[in-house]
Amino acid sequence: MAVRKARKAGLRLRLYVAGHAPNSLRAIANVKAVCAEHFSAGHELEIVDMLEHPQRALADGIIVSPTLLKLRPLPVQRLIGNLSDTPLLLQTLGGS
Amino acid sequence: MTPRAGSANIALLQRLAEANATINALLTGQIDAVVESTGHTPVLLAEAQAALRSSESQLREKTVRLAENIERTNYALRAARMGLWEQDLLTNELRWSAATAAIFGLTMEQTPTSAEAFLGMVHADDRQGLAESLVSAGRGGADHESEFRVVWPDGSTHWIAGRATLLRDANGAPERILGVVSDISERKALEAQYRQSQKMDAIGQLAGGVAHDFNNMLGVILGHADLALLGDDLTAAAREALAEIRSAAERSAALTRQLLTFARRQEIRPTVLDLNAHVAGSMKMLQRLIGADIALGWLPAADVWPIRMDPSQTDQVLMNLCVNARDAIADVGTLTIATANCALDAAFCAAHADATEGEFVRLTVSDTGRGMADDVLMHVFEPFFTTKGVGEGTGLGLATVYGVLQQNNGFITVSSEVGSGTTFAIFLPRSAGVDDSAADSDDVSTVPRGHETILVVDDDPAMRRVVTAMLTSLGYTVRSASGPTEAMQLARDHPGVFDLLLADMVMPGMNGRTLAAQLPDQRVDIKRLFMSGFTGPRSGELSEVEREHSSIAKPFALAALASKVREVLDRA
Repeated sequence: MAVRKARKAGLRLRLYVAGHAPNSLRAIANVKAVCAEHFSAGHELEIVDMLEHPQRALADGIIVSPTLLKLRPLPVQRLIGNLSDTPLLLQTLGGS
Repeated sequence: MTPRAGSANIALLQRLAEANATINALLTGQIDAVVESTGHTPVLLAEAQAALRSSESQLREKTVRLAENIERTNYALRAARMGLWEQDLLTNELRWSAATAAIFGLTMEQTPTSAEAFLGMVHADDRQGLAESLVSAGRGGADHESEFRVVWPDGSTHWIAGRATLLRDANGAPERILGVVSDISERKALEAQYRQSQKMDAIGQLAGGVAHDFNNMLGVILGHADLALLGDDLTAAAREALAEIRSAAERSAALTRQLLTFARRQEIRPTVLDLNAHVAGSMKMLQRLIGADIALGWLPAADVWPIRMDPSQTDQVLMNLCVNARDAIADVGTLTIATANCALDAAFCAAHADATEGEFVRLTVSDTGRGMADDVLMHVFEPFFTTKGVGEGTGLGLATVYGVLQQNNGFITVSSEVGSGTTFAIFLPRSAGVDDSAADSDDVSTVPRGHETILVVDDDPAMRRVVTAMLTSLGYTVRSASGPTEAMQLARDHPGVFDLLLADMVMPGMNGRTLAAQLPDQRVDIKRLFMSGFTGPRSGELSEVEREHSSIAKPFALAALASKVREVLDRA
C-alpha cells in the first residue's frame, strides 16, 4: 500500500485539449477532480492546448483532443475522450 | 516469442485499443478536435461539422433552387404552350419534350429522332426554308426563327412558330441546338380573318366610288327612257326598245344597290321587326324560289327577340342565302331555316373575328347540298367570287349578305363539309324596341304633276338635263344650276320665288344642305329635296328624318321623282 502511495506521488500527466471546446473543459475538470481526490499527495498535470501547440501534439502522437497522456509511472498510456468514465480514469492512473 | 517481438505485439495491441477508444470517443461525441498530420492547426470538430452541415444545407438549397427553376421553366413553357427540343449536332440526334410531341400531334413514341425525319413532317412549301434556317443556326449563324406548317397524322394542317439557338461546347465548337415551338394556328386564322375584312373594306370603298358615278349614268338612262316613253307618236318597236332599255337600267340599278349594300353605302330604313313573323311571311316566296324538289323546313324558336333591320334587307339576306343553298343541292334535298336567341360570350368572339359579345338573334340557313372545301370557304364572302357558271351568278350574293350584316351590326358565320352540306348562321343584335313595321304607303298608280317652280342643282350636266326634262314634262317650271355659286346667283336674279330646291346631296365645294341654308331666298323655309347617289360619309349630315322624308335615291324613275316632289311640295 505504501509502495503504491509512493508511485502515486510520481504521477505525471499531460492533457491535450482544444481551447475551450466543451469536451476539453469537461476533461480538465474530470482529471483535476480525480487527482485532487486520489493523488493529492503529489502529481504533476500539464495541460496543453493543441490549437496553440499542434507540433507538440504531433510529436506525442496525439491525433484527437481531448487526450490524456500518462507519462509516469510507465508504461505510457493514453486515455481518449472527456474522461467522464471515472473508474476507467482511476484504473489508468493506477488508482484503486 | 522473443521479448522484442512480445513488446512489439503489446505496443500494437495498445495502439489498436487506443484506436478503438478513439472511435468510441468520436461516436459518443467526446472529441473536440483532430490533429492533422501536416502539423497545421488542428481542426475543431465542431467547426468541421458546422462547415459540413452548412455545405450540406447549401447543397440542399442549391438542389431545391435548381428544382424550382426547372419547375418554373416548365410552368412557363406550359403557360406559353411551348414545347422544348434539342438537336445534338455531333450525332444529329433529336430529342423532344412531351409538349413538343403534342404540338406536332404525336405521342412520345412517334416523335422523329433525326432532323431529316422531322423535316419530313413539315409542309412541303415550308420545308426548305426551315431546313436552311436550322442549318444556318447550327453553323453559328443568326438564331433560328420561323413560322411553318406541319401536317398532323390526322391530316390537319397546323401553323407552328419555332425559335432556336446554338449551344457551344467548352472549346466554342457548335454542340447542339436548343429550341422552342408553339402552335400559332389560332393566331394565323385571326390574321387571315383580319386580312379578309381589310380586303372587303377596300373593295367596298372601291365599289362605293364606282356605284356613285354609275348611279348618275343610270339615272340619265332611266330618266330619258321614261321621258321618251311619254311620247304619243312612238312605234311599237321603239316602245319595246325603250322598255328594254328601261328594264336593263333598272336591273343595273339593282346590281348597283347590291354593290352599295356591300360597300355599306346604301340608303336603308331600319325598323324593329319580329324575325319569326318576317320569315314565316316569306316562306311561300322562298319555296317558289327554291323549287319543288327541295323540301323547305322552318324551325322558329319561341319568343325570339326583336331585331332592328330594314325589312327589304332581311328579304335580301334570306333570298341570297336560300338561292345559294338551292344551287348547292344537285337535285333533291332539304333546306332548313331556323331562328334562335343566343348570348355570345368572349370565347365565341375569340373564334369569330366579326363577332361581338352580347345578345343576338341567330338565323341559320342549312342545306344538305354538296358543301364547300376550305379553299372555297375562304373566299365565300368576297364580291365577284363565284363557283357558278358565267351568267348563273353575279358573285355578289354572299358579299351582299356580308355587307348588310355589317351595316346592321350583325355578322355571319359559315360551316361546311364537303358532301354533307353547308350552314350559314347570321347574327343580328337584339333590339330593345318594339315592332314598328307599319304598312308602307302603296305605290301611287297615277303620276302626280304640278306647276310650281323648282331650282335643280347638280354638278353632273347629263343628270341635270334629264331631271330638268322630267320635271318639265310633269308641268313644273325648272331653273337649273351646275353648282352652289350658280344656284345662289340664280336665286338672286330670279324675279319670283322658288317653291322647291332639288339638289344633289354631294357636290364639289358645298353640299346640298349647306346650299339650302345659304340661299338668299325670300322664303327662308324653302322646301328641299336632296338627291343622293349613296350613303357616303357626307350624307351623314342629314338626320334620319331628313333622309327618310327629304331625299330620293339615285337612280330614280319618272314616277318615283314625280311622287316624291309632290310629297315634299304638299307637306305643310
